[in-house]
Amino acid sequence: MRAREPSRQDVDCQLFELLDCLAEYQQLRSSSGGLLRQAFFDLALAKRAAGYRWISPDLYSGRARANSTVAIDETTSPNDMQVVRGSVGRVEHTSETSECDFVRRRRGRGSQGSDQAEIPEDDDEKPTEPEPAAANDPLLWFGMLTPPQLKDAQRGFASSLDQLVRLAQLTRIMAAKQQDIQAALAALSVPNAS
Amino acid sequence: MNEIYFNADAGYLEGIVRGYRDGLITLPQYLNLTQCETMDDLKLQLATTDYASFLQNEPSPMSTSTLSARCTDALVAEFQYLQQNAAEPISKFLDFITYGFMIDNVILLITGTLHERDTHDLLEKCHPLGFFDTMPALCVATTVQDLYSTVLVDSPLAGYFRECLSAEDLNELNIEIIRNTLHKAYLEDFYTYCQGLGEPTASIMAEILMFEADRRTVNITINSFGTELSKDDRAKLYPRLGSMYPEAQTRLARVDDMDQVKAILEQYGDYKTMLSGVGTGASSGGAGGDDMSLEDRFFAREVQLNKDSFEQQFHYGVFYSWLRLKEQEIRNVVWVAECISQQQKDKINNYTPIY
Repeated sequence: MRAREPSRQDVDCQLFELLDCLAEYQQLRSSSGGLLRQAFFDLALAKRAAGYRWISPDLYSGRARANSTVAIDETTSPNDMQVVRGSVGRVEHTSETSECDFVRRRRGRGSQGSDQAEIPEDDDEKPTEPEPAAANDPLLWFGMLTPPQLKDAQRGFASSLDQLVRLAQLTRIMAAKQQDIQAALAALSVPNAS
Repeated sequence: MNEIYFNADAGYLEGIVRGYRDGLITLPQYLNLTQCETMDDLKLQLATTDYASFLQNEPSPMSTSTLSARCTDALVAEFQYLQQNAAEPISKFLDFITYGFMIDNVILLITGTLHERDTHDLLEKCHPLGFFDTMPALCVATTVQDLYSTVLVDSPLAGYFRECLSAEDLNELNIEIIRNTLHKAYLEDFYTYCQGLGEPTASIMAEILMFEADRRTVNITINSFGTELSKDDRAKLYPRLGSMYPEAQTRLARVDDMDQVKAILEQYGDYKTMLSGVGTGASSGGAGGDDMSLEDRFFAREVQLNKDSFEQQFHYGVFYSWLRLKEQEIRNVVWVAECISQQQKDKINNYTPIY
């Protein structure tokens, strides 16, 4: 059975969808731009408060790894991107030995939060909600008593993550829709289809 | 009589440090810096300052971290010149100033070791003014006892560790407690030492160090909100000097938010004036220089105290004051650079001018 040829109405619908995506893209870009701009400014404020020596890449952990990742299934749905958030407590453990040492060090002075001394065995287990004051919060690389501006900056960067992933997703969707529209216009033998 | 003998021991160095003071960036120069559109423009404007020789070989585009590092190199070079030309008793005073940097280096190294950073990288990042001979051995310590017995027992910081030896393992909380406990012990020891130097050094340094203690108290309080630090531990980190010791510190140890901090500070005349106009979001920077945060006001007050130090002669306070003013100048320059880099021109005037 021959596939139905696209009608002009189909092309119009696709164009409207593309424009909707573009509108959402512009709105998200403006919103995320504002969030990131404020977050970078908060970071500059924190550096001024605590000292440029104390909030710098020099204090990054050597065992740091991504706390949140983006899952993309290229085979089934390449335009579908999902943010996979690990626990804040998952940032720093690689081998079993280093993990045990880290637990021993943390248990030296555990105070609040019973989850601080626990290392869940399943790395994919999702936490309920990341807390800035959790034991393995990356902010702790810069000390326990970080300025409030650094916490504000972290909050800003974290909140912009979903928007940035959505922006990447929209970019892919719009590129795909553009190709579909061009193909449909070519099929309708419309001049200036490219 | 102090005036007669002072110049014999430290007259040359006082002349040098007053010359350094005259090299600080003035308000017209800051206005020129704030007009810059790019980092290259800023570098060009800084060519007329004491930082010229330290920045001229930096390739473009220059980052704000590089700018901060080069400006710090300029400060280190000038301070080391003072140290190299100092004899007792001024050399002891200058050494005391460096103990604060030593504490920061110790904390940087043990924190980096905890986070499995490369030792050589860490040593390169240490502040040059705080370097001491046994510092590289810090990277092998895993407990506070090791830290003390293998490394710090022969360093100038040995006496300050007495209050830290109760901590067991080195984790983030303990390291923060150690850091603040060391600074507390250092501040108290420095204060006692300055009192022994007699007038006018004693009174000038007393005012400066007491203000520093008050600021540390407030910063520890504000920064501890929402952390694992208990209120009892918070109180132990407060220096035992300053206008807030002991009454205000007892109350600040129990507060939970910024409003309560403000309510306590407003009962002290100096700080009431300082706090007027500070909003509840006082921890964040002001917009465009008109809305000063609490932190900006502390910077301004510190600058004023250190400027006043130069109004008298024949005391050692000028050396400490020059260093603090120079650090403030670096903070200002880097702030302007950050605002230029981030295209935040409306916030660029949020610096603390000195002269």
